[in-house]
Amino acid sequence: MGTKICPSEQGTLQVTRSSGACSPILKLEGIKKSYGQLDVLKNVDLSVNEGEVVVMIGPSGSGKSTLLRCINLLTVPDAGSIVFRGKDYGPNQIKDWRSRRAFERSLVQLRCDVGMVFQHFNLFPHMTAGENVMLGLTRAHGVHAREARRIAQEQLDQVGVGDKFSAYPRNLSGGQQQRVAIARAIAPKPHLMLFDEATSALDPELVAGVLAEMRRLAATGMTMIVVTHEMRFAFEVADRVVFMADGAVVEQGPPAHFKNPQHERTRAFLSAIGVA
Amino acid sequence: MNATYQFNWSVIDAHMWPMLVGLVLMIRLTIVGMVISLAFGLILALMRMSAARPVRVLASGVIDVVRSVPLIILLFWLYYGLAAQLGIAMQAFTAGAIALGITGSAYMAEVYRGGLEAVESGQREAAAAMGLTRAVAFQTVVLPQAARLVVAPTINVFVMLLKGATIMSTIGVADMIFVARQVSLRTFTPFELYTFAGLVLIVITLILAAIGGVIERRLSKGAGRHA
Ligand SMILES: Nc1ncnc2c1ncn2[C@@H]1O[C@H](COP(=O)(O)OP(=O)(O)O)[C@@H](O)[C@H]1O
Ligand SMILES: [Mg+2]
Repeated sequence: MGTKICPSEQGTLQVTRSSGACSPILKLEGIKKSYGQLDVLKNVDLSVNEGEVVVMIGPSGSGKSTLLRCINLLTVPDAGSIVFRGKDYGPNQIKDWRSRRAFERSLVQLRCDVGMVFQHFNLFPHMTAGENVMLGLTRAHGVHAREARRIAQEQLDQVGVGDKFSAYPRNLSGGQQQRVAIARAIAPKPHLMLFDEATSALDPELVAGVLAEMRRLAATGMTMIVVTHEMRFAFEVADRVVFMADGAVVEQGPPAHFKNPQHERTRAFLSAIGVA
Repeated sequence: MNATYQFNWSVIDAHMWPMLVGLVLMIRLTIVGMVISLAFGLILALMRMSAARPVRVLASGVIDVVRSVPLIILLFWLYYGLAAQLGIAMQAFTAGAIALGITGSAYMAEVYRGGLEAVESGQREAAAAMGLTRAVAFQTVVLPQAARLVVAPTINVFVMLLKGATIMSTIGVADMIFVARQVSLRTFTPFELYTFAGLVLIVITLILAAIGGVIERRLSKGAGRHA
């Protein structure tokens, strides 16, 4: 949509008309992760373009969360490259980094630019909603407290919990908590948002509200990777759906593609959950 | 002595003052021991939770050994053993404070670890995911949550050290128990004097528990100032 400025491979800026022409904002290659004998991720490749909404589906235990966590290195993969906005953060790079300090600086750089929303919200219980949103701004992004407060209020307003600035998480409903968590993640204006089953822990009547916020965010052009079991939402909002099973990407394509999936594994999954 | 024992309050009345001087000394000893414990306990706890296995093993070894050595033996090693073997002579008060500090550090290490580990892993992850460094995440997210969990057990350690201070009389520290013994040698009223000492300690313990309760409630109100 509109004019986009994309960094090219050479690091110079080029102006293009559509997001599709950009090099991917994120490119995962050969991601592997094992826990002991269990191979959780087996050589996963995935690339995501700027502005794209990628929805990951698949059976429980297929490695979706692990893959998502590898992107911001909450989990460090055993092998593979994680190229985000032209810089590789993969485990090969880690070996090259001389000191813990350099490693941590690099991690911080990556995480400051990637927002994450968790299944269980993970709000900080000793801080108010507003303080939850402000913390990253002031302590990771160096925003002055006064400005951070203004941004926090604005973001809470955006997700419909503007009146809860001074409320502690325990006094909020699950839906309100997750909205605060979304505000907290998007306040620093990251280039990529990760959602790991953001509605799975919510009471059924609160799911729609949170999905609406995610839909709204997608409409602003935010690049998003969304793990979800909400199939209607998935097929409606996704630019591309990725089906994972047993630690590998089995098949991917635009939502329409999944009306007639190519792989037996995909068909079995979709019919098991009552789609197709 | 009669069949019905007469509790002789007048003894306490007469010797209240030196007893309380002994108590103050005990409290001073305990506070010095506690300060050592708070600092070294945290260091031990962080070592115990280190990513480096040898550091972890060392710390847990130290913690387990220290916790299994009776305080009185630790005290004798420090006071008599070091002097005899290495010619390091220290004052009874110093030896007592160090003995309390060593024991207290081992117990505080476990208290800190309990508190830090009780903070859900999702909290550290959320802090890390927003780009906070480990140090800032520890300071703003982990520590404030752990703090309220360690208040009560920290007070337990303090009480334990205060009780531990009662054996300092064995190396000649003039604490409340020492005074009680000295006086009862003359007055033959150990029951009164030790009972008084016990009551004083019970009162102090109850006061500490009450203070702990207040602090805990304060912290859990969510005094979450950070910016
Ligand atoms: N920290 C861990 N230690 C051991 N096994 C893990 C760990 N994290 C995930 N796993 C295992 O990896 C597999 C994939 O998990 P996960 O990525 O959470 O799947 P999904 O999100 O698709 O349900 C599961 O079998 C899970 O038990
Ligand atoms: Mg998962």
